[in-house]
Amino acid sequence: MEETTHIGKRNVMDFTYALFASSCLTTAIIGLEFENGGPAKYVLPFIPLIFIFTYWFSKQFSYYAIAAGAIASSYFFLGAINTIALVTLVAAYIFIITAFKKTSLRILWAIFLTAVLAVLRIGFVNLPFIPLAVPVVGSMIMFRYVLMLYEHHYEKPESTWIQKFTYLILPPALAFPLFPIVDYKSFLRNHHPQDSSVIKTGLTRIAAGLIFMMSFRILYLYFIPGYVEVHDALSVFTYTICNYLYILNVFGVMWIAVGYLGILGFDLPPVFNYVFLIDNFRDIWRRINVYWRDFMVKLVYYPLYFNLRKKTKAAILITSLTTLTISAMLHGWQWFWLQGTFVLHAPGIIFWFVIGLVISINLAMQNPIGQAPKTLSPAIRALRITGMFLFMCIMWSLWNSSSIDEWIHLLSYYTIGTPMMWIIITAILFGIFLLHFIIQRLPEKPAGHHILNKAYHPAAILTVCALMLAPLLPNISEKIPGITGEFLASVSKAQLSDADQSAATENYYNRMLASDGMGSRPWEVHTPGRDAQSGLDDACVRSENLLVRELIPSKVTVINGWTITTNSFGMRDDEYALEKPESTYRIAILGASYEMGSGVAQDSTFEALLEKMLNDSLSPKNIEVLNFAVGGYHLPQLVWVAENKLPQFQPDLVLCFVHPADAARTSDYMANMVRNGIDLHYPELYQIRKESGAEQHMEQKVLVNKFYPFTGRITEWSLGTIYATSKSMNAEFGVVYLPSLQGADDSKYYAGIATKPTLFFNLSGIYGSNPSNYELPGDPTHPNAEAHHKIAAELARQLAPIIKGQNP
Amino acid sequence: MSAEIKSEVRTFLDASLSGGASAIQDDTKLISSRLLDSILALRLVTHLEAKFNIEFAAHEVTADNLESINRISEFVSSKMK
Repeated sequence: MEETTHIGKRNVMDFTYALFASSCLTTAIIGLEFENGGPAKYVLPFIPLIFIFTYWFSKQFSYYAIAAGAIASSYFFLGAINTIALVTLVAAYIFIITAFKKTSLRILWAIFLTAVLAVLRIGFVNLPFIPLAVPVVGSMIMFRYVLMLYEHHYEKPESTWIQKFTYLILPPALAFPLFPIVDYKSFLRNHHPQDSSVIKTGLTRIAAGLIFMMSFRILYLYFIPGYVEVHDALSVFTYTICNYLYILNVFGVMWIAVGYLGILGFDLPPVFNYVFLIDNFRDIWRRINVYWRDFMVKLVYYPLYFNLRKKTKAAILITSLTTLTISAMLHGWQWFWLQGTFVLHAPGIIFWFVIGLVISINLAMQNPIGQAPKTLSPAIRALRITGMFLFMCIMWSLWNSSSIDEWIHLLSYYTIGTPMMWIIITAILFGIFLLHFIIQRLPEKPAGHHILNKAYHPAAILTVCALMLAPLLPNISEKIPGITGEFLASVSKAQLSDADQSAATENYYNRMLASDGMGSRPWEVHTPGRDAQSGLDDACVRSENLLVRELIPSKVTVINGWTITTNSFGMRDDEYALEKPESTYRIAILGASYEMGSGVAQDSTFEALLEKMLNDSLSPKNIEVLNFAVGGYHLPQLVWVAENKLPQFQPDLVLCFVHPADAARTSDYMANMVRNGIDLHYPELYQIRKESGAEQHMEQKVLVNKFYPFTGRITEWSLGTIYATSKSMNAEFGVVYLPSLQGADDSKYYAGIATKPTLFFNLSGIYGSNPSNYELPGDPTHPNAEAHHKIAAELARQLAPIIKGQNP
Repeated sequence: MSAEIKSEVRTFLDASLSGGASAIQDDTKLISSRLLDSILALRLVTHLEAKFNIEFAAHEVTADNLESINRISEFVSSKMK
């Protein structure tokens, strides 16, 4: 820490500023949903509270305050029983160190306890009352515990029981599964809870972390293409670069985590060292995740190298490769605790092996001891940085691929490029080179200088607070019209990009961040009732045609607290006569989970409410709304339903519901059909398959990519076929655009397809400015009962004049 | 002996760091300021072992022993006793 005195000069001004700024930054992190619905929202608000105690009370007391804060936040996050389990487990691990003097015994007992936890995690023994404490201990505490064991073997540092406990249960670590491995000795030695410089540096880091995360959000929402959108050299180049920029999100989490420790007085080194300035292979190891590097060097690299150096000349090569391989396996270890399964990810292993190999070669080629490295000219260094950036982008795309085939398929698009594309690619690379050339020309900073290793002026931090809090102002998008308002609304909450709505990005860090996020989903693995769709299989029977599954007729199925009751025709609906009664106007609804009413009571679905509302307002006309929707259906399946199920019910109006990114999701469906060898039934779909070059043996993601260019054609064909089918039944056909709770509005796309004489009902904006108010509890992807009521009311309003104008 | 060790370390740093060691004082932090990374630390250790006929253990390659020229000198001296 620069200019750090560590003299405890407490003053009210510094305290007030730090408390205010940390509270604002915490509000921004939670309000902007950077915590992703995870534990951070329970844990982070405690940190400014803990800070009050750590700042004003003695250093020894501060450990108690931190431990108490961690336990309290754990209580809110995990509940009482899990918190007791967590504290007990941590205490047990500390007991092993204090009770046994011999390291071998400590290791033996630690392995035994960990094995017990692993058995619980795998689920061999089911203890339902502590499901969450186990992955928390396994994923978050284990690495720090290994460091603790190591230090107590060699150094035997003076540390009290409460210090050990605090080190293992650090509150920010509880918030972020992806938490930097804080060095044990640094933790013990560099704790200065009254040092304003340390605290203000912490604020700097949190503010920087927020900027990183916001930058990533903007990139993610507006610039990063999906895998399915890659179809030529330029798009694969953009995809490869943008994919590497996912690391901005990792920067954000890590800096915020370390920043919070700074507020609590822990003076820690920077966690990243200018990753985008890597200029040689050895630099990768030096700059990416410094804490992890130090952990691996201390625990693996040095011990192995010292053991081998007199036995073989290849000591460096063997040590580097082994260290990187173990590094890859430890990522798998962390993933095991989060997910409960140990998955060998071949691209990940190759990624680490290649990185290990190039670092080893680089080390082997380094100058003899005592010979200084050449000073590079700014142009050469900028060229090397650009080259390494490209290398890292390519390697990162490998790591993010779910298989080698998928990666090779991705890279194969580099062969499809026009001269103009290559000119643009060259121009982008030149731009990167130019940027680094300019950076190299800037005055050189003293060695060890880091932009995030100092306390910035309060005005700078408070400006960041104001900018980050601005999008959270009530109804901001309505008060600021136009693009600015839309932009503020879009960045004010966590949402999936268009690309990710159709295919989740397979990426280790992204899985960690977006799925467990600053943490939610891995913890939710054990939490029942989260997903309204899960368990739907119990209500369905497998179908041998392209429907894949259908609801079982006359069955009552309870799924995570909600019930599906089907009629004798296999609809989630009331019983109706097959023959349309006299003076009855029949509406047939085609759709998927939204229309089926996933997660809401049967009489609260918009379909049921619509029927009631129409009958109330159009009496004495008898209106029947028949629900043919089934969760998970896609457009081609709706065609099949329209052709094979609808005619016998003689509908007067067929309503086909479409949603944002439905077209993109169709490519997922087509990929699944081909991969599972299911008959596509329709000549048009077979033709598309033929033209796409899709083969059954191909990876799912590759297939999705191949079908993606045809999604527009499939959508048009589907809607056109349903229209023709409706006409053959003398029924009107209408397309209803129902927005999802997340994702962009693409109603214009469907409005363009559903041209006259097709009816088009646009429900855009049905959820107002804050769709998250209408999310199903525990399932943000489906609308709640209130949303269903709004949808029904709006549809009834739009449908009434059409029904009035008809004589059933 | 201490002066000799310090001189040797300084010579090593001068030849190994791209900016030389002219700005480095005896108490300049080498590890926490990242002047000395894990690889360079290993090279320094190898160099000191050869020069002073001593042997480091893996767990001794730490900031405690290598943080500054002063610390290195003290540690190497203690090894030579």
